[in-house]
Order: sequence, then structure tokens, then C-alpha cells
Amino acid sequence: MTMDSLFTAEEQAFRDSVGSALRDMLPADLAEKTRNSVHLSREDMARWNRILHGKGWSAHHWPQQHGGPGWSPMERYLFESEYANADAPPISVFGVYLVGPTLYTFGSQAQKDRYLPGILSGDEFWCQGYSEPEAGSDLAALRTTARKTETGWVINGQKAWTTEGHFADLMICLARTDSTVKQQAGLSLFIVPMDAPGLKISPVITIDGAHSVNEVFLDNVEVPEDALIGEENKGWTYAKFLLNHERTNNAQVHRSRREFERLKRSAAETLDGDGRPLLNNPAFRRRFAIIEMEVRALEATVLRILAVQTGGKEPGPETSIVKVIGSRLQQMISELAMDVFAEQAIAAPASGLNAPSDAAAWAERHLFRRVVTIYAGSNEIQKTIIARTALGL
Amino acid sequence: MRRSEEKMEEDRLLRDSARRFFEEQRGWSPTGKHNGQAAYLDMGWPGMGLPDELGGMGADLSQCLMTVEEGGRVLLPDWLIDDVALTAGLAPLSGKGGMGDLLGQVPSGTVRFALVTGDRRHPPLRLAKNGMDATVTGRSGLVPDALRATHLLVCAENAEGEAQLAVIAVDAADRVHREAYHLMDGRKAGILFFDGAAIPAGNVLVSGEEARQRIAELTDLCTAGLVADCIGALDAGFSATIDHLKTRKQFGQPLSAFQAVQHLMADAYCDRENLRSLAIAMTAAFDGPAGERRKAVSAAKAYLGRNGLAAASRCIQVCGGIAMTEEYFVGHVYKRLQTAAALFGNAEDHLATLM
Repeated sequence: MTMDSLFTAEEQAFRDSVGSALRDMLPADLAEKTRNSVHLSREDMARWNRILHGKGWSAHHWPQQHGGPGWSPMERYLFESEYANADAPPISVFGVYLVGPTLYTFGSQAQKDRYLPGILSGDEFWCQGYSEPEAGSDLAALRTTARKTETGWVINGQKAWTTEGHFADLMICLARTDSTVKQQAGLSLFIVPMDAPGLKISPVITIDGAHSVNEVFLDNVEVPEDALIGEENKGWTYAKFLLNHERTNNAQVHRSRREFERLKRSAAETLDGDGRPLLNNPAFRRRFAIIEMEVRALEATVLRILAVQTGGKEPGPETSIVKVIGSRLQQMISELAMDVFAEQAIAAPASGLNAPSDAAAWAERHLFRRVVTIYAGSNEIQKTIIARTALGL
Repeated sequence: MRRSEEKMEEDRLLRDSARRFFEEQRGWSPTGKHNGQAAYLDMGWPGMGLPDELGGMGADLSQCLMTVEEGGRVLLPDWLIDDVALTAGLAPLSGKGGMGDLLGQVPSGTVRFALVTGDRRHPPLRLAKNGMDATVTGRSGLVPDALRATHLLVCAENAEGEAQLAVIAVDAADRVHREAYHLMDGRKAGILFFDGAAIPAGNVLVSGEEARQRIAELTDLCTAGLVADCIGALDAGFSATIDHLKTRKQFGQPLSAFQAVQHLMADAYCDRENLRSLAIAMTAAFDGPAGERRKAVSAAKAYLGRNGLAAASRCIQVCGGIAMTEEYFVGHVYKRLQTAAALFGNAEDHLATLM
């Protein structure tokens, strides 16, 4: 972090203390894996989740009464910054970011008691059943139905892009419970065990060659009455509440800063054709400077939003821009990495002896990064939202 | 970045009174003439950042820049960057040699300072001391308020390359030639030619490392002033553009209904908000170490020259042909930003300091 003058002495002390604690807690092999791969295994994520949980930090943005540390927005920001700097692995986002806050805001006491502990400890993994083959950006058009029975609900349909579905224990599933009303008004949220009879999952391999997303088929999947979260037909409201709540997470500002600094070091260690470090080559230097400027802009905008939240207010429309600029910045960094590593980034040894390398990790990341401007509401959807809400067009 | 409730209330009052004053007294009009010519002297803004004992209002930098920003909204022809932003950094020079009690005369408008820096593409200004005298030689860069200034703060180097900051009273100056220029945005500026101009050695206010630091800070303040001015201009340009998009109809619909137009404006909005965020970070950085302040200023100035200007350009694009006319506000906003982009180092110069 470069902008010390934006933080009070207490905040800087907080940052230093969480930073040194994180570095002490983090096993070296997990830091190494975080640097060298895009998708972590369930075992690795669960292991790190347990360590964090021991310190009470596995759900760092949750309020204290639900098992979080109860930090202020600024403390969370500083923790996240140190977390990225330590190369700590991202823990599964669905439980901590999506399901937890949904349950502690809208769920029943029984649901909180049953599910929150597993999210905090990392013993139970979740996936998100929102998108469908025919409902991507137009999520409200989804066709999966949940029909009420004597004992509960029967769910039928198909979910798409289900990240981590192949190792999740549970799914938070958005399904249509009323098809006679306006699309958005007939949706409800359910908890579905991934081992429920009638649920089938099949892998989807993405362009980075990895398996992180899946298709999920629900064929007369029966769930009990209390699988419904909150009220029937309020699913859209709950889903939207959450998107607004955690939008700064989509900025990925700390990971971008961390990756940018690492890429700078790589460029300092790589020589151009004149035997000069790439970082001193004017063309590269300028591109690094532009990204430095862009990273600073994103940091400043995220901090500006946090300052508003710290003052106890709801941030204004500037919140909607961090997804757009944050995702684009992630891509700019990996695009620059492709030019820094050049041929190294596109060739793997035919021997199959594929030792992990910076270049290979960047190549994988670069390909998978194409998705960040598509997921979590594509940037085109975001721009339409900005035009409508912020600009009143 | 975070301000107390009390400060925020002060800010609100200041912003409201500045906005009302500029809109009512100096509002922009298509004739190119501002509605009124009322001076802003009575508002107490020149030297507002100076402490009370020097006649200022003791305003902090954020409030000074907010005032500059409000002037930018009406494309004010006066250079508030000197009267308001530059003077906010002059208190440490109070009482030094040739400064005498000049600072006390800033709020009344009797004394107006202009910061005179070298031209980045020419050799630096030279200052040589000979006993009781000093002489200044060389050509300055464009000095925004050169024509109205009563006193020049000259940033020079001696033969050893050590920084020197000197004050020169324009009236008393011998062998100083001012060349007037019309800038692209319609404002006036000047280039100063010093042909061995002689000044008392006491007018050299600070030398060496101290001068280097002082000059860097004053230059950063002027640059920050330019950024603030452009944020105001861009904001006003945005409002005008959005009004136009809602009223202008083509193909039977208002322009605002077209998604291509909406997305161009969403991009411009992201740029505008990022620029504002960088300006907030820049302002806070004046309380921190000089190296980081420099980078925060450069990030904002480079962003202004690239993304800020691109946002203004998109406003012209979505308005269409009308924004190409002299009569229309939006084109003038673009010229204001393009002018600012070139002053005190352009985007490329500032990108270079970021690495």
C-alpha cells in the first residue's frame, strides 16, 4: 500500500499487526500455491479456512454477533490489503460472501444455527445456483422451478456456471415459485444439498484448461419445507440486496496491487534484446506507469466509498463503477504480463515435465481473467446500471 | 480522506456560497462573456489558505481546492490556481528576506503571486549571486497568471545546479520581458524572459535543498489547482451533456434511450469519478511525505490528461454536432481540460514520475 497519508496512525498500527499475524499463520506451501495457480483445491482452501477460523478471521467482514471480528470498513480494507500482500489463498467466496450474509440477514434462527458454523470453520462448502443456460445476464428469466408439496419443495431445472459445484456440499439455489407474476416477483431462494437424489453435476472445462465450473441438473430434487430462505417469492430482493452490499469486493483492488508489484519485479529481472531490464525499457516503463495510475485510481475510489460507509452512510452511485474498472484493471495487468513473459507464456515443455513457473501461472490467469468482465453482472450490464441510476439516462 | 462533521459542515457552507457566487456573478454564457464581472476579492478567497495572522481564512487545502473547483464549473477566466491554491503554500516563506509583509497584502488583492517555473523543453532558469545582488537569466514556461501578477516567484538554479527560489516585484524588475499568450481555452498567460534581471540578493528566499523542496511543493499546489479546476469544469460539462441527451430527439426517441450513448456516458462517468477519487487522495497526500505527494499529484494530473480529457471528449461525441460550436458549453469544457492537460507537465511527464 502506497498511500499511507490516507490512514490514521491507529489504522496503520492495525494493518501492521494483522499483517504480521497473517504472515505467521500462513503455511509456506499455500502461499506458493496462491502465487502459482488460479484455482485451489478444496483441501487447500479448507486447511487455510480452519487456520483463519482459529483466529476468528475466516469471515472478516461479518459482524461480531454472527462470528466475525466486527471490523470497521476501513479495518476490513486494511486486512484485505495485508491478506493479498501475504499471498494468502482466497477462501471459497460463496459461503463467506454470499450465503452467510444472506442467512444472517434473511434466514431463520434454525438456518443460522445449522449453517453459519460450517461456513465459519470451512467444514462445509457452498456453490451458487443462480445462472442457467437461458438466463445469464437476464437472470430473472430463469426457468428452474420449485413446486410446493405436502412435505416441502420439488425442484426441477438446470443451473450453469456453477463454480466449485464439484466439491461443494450445498447450493444456494434461485428458483421460480410463481410463474403467474412479473418475472422478478416469482423467485425464491433455497438450500439444496449437493448429494440430494436427482441432482447431477457435470464438469465444464474453461479456456484456461481447468475445471472450476459445472453444469448442475435438478431432476425432481426434493427438499424439506425449511430449505426455503426467508419468504416465498422474495428471492430476487434478497439476491439484489447482497449484490449492492458487497460490491467493493468485486474491485479486487488488493490482489491487483499485489500482482502488479510482483509483475514489476519480474520485469526488473527480465532483460530485453539490448540487455536492459524490461522495466527500464521505455515502452514497458510507460505501460507500467499507466497501470500504476489506474491502480491508484481504483484504490482511491474504493477508499472513497469506504470513507462514506465509515461515516455511517450508504455510498452513492460511485459504488457501481468499481466492478467495471476493477475487472478491466485485472485484465490490463495480465495483458501486460503476457508481453513481459512473451514466448515463455505461450509455450509449455512437450516432455510434460511442467514445472510451475511464473510465466505458466500468468498464462493461466490471463486466460481465466477473460471472465472477470463477464461474471457478477457483465460490464455491459453494469454500464447500463450506471447510466440509469447514476446518470438518470 | 475522512473529515469531521464540523469540517464537513464548513465545507458545505463554503461550497454553497462559492457556487452561488460564481453562478450568479460570473456564470458562463454562450457569448463568451461571463454574466458579471464581480470580483471575488470580497469573498475573501485570495490567500484563503493563509493563517489568520497573515490575513487569510485559515482554510485547509481541501477547502481551497473546492473553491478552485467551483470556479472551474463556470469556466472562470481568472486563475484561482495562483490566488487560492499557490498561496496556500506560501506561509512558510513569510518574513523571509524579500517577502517582507507581502503575504499580508494577498487577501486584499494588492499583491498577486505567480509561480514562474522553467520550460520543461528549455534549459532551466539561471540565478547567479554576486555579493549583494543576484541576476536571473533564461526563459520560463507558460505562466498562467503572468499578466496579472504583481510578484513573481521564480524557480531557478545556480551554476552548480542547486535550486533557488526568488521573489521579483514586476514593477521594479529590470530586464524582464513578458510575452502575452492567448491559451486554447480563452484564458491569458505569459512567458517571461529574464535577460540578466538584477534583484537584491535578499530576494532569494531559499536555496539548495530547502528551495528544491519548497519549489516542488508550490508546483504541486498549482498542479493540484489545475486538477480541481478541471473537476469542476468536467462536472458542469457532464450536467449539460445529460440535459441535452434527455431533450434531444432522434429516430423518435431521446438520445438518452440509446444504449450506445448510455455506455459511452457510463465510461465517461467512471473516468470522472476516478479523477475525483485521485484528487481526494492527492489532497490528503499534502499532509504526508514529499515523495508520495509527488506521486499522488502526478497520478491525478496524468489521469486528467488521459481519462479526464477522454471523458470530456465523449461528452462532445454524444452531444453531436452542436458541441462543436463556439456557442455550446461542452466544447469549452474540452478546451479547458486540454489546456490544463498541457500545463505544469502533461500526462506523459507525469506518467514518468509514477515509475
